[in-house]
Amino acid sequence: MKKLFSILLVAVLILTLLAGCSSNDADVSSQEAQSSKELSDSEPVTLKVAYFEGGFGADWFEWLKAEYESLHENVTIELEGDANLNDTIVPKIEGGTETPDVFFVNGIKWKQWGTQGLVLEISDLYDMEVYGTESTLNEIINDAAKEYFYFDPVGAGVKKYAVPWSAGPFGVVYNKIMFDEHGWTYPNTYDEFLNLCELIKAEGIAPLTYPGIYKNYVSPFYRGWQIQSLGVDKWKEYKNPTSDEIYIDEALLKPWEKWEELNKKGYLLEGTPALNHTSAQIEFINEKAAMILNGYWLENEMADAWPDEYEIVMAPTPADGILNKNTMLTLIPDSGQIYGKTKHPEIAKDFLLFTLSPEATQKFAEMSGGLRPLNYDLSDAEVTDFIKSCLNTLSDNSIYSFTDKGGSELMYIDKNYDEMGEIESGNMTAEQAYKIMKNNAKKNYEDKKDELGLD
Amino acid sequence: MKKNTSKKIFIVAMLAWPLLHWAIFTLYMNIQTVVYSVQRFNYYIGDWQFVKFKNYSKLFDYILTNTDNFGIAFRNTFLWLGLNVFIIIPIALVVAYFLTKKIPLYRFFSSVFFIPNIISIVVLTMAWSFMWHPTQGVVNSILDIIGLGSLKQTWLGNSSTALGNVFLYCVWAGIGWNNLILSGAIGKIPKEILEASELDGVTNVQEFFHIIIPSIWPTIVTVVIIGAAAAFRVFLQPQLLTNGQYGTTSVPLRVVKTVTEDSGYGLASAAGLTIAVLGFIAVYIIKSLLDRLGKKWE
Repeated sequence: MKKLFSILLVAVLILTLLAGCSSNDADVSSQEAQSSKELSDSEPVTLKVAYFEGGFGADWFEWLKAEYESLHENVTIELEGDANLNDTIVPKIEGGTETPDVFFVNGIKWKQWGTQGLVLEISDLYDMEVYGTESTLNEIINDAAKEYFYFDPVGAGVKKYAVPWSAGPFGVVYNKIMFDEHGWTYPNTYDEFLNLCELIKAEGIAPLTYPGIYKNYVSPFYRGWQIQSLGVDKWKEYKNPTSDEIYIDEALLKPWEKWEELNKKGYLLEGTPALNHTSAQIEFINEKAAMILNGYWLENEMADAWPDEYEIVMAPTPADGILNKNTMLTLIPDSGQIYGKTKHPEIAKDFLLFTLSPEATQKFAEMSGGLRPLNYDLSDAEVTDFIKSCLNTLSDNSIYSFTDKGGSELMYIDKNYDEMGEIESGNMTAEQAYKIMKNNAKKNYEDKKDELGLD
Repeated sequence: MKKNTSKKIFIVAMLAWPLLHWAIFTLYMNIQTVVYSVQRFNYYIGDWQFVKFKNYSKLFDYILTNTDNFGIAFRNTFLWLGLNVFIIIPIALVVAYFLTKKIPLYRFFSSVFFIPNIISIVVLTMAWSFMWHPTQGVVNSILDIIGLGSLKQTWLGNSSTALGNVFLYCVWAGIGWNNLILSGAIGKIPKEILEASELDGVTNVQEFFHIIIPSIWPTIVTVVIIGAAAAFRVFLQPQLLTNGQYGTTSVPLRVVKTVTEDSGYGLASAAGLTIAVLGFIAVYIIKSLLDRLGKKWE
């Protein structure tokens, strides 16, 4: 019996180990040739398209399917919406089982998958003409999206592995009705912002709140203030450092001082540090605070909580520093990618180009309330005033739009959330936080260099 | 002969599935974790690289310097161990003792204590957050009413109170399950023993320490071991109450964030394995001490 048990155990172990060893060989050029032929002839092809079925719903994908199939009679789009796709896509792609040809997800796993060949390199797609335009994708995506999708982790040449799906501004949202009633106007400079906060506070209203347990909500201020203090050139060095010198720049003290100033002057709603996103947003809706640090998803996320009459506007971080421009953090959480071993790479690329057309982008805004980092004029789109204000911030050239993602692997991406919290609680000064940030950034630089073998 | 073969087929059929499940989801996954812990993904070459023990040395450096809160995470995980073993279980034991004494409303209290175990932790933490809400919470309101407004705090938003508050939540939500198990064990002590002790004039304290505890010692050991092991898996409580902010993070939460926010599979695997080894040692020591104590009573 023992022998039988041992044999069974060994067999199971061998099977397990074999399961982990799958072949990585793929004849990409033969795939492409075959796929290109499929695109031009009438041989039936089924393209599996998986998408994260979250806040944007399924309607837009159903529309894409119907439109694309009407243009390509031999292609059938097989849609698979999955609320857990952001998790389930990992074993699918890394294990090579039940893989979709094209998938739309949240996250930046494509960086690693791209260099491993698990998602297709689509640099050539960026040079192709997008449906409904005479422009290439390179000409259509905005600067923030370029920062993000032009992937050059260690200065070895730009490659592209994904295209933008949704993106949008992450800034200051204010209650326009309240502003109009009190005769307040959203400020253009940081000093004006402080004056405005003082006026709001004098009315017994908290000027600002944010979901305090999620310190990333401070990013529009923190990163904006960093860029305003550093200037664009130094910000580029911050994202793609050639040494750790940039992280000890005195200009980086300024954001901490501003954060300390807002807290010390009592411009944040009492108790903000303990609020989660729902609580903070409810406080804003209930007019306990005039402004909230939030993103383009706010209106949709709180759809059932708004009063009958409301008007909210997305606004940038007021100008200051040597940049002296308003700044707007652009979040680019979602992307479309093609599985590296798809049998239909050309059709998959063509489908992605189709999803990037002006019409598809307008439909995305109208059907899903979603925005995309593409330079299209969507003034005719039937969207809410809030979404229009978001679109305005994306297309306003006087605003410096940026993303803090997409820097080199050596970038110090951390925003020292703990130190932000300590300043809020009055347990730490701006100087102390800055000192910790400098030390962590230098350490991070050395660690990353070591990891990449750059010593 | 035929009977022997069919017996073997039956055993193979019965064992194949659990063995396969164990091999894939336990053995293979853990081997992968060990492999990841000595590797790093290099974007230069687009592949994993063997880096010997660099992830471990980085982890220990991070713990010692509290970089990315790794120091706090390890400290808190051991504080949770102490909380589970030295606070929650003794409280649960005392509560179980009094409930088995059938104090007034004992059925009601039993249900109340157990309710947190049948409600989703998401709902529980939400209710807890509302209770401690800085401006609308009942706690700060009560402090105001009784004239102690100066003690009002942003309980879950300040590093001087947040960890204590999360621990308090764990005590509140953790008593019920232990209470249920321990009440069951106390209920099985022969009534004759308790009645005899009562006739001998034994006080409640004497009964608790000299009769109840020795009688249910194996059950106490079980709940202590389970509680000790659970301390090394604490994740959702700090995640849902504070998002790990204000000094409340734990090693499992840090591991998840290292993977999801930094794609640091190597460091996360090293941290996971280190805490697993430390957890094993801690639980082993606790078990040995409890066994030794148990033998003394035998």
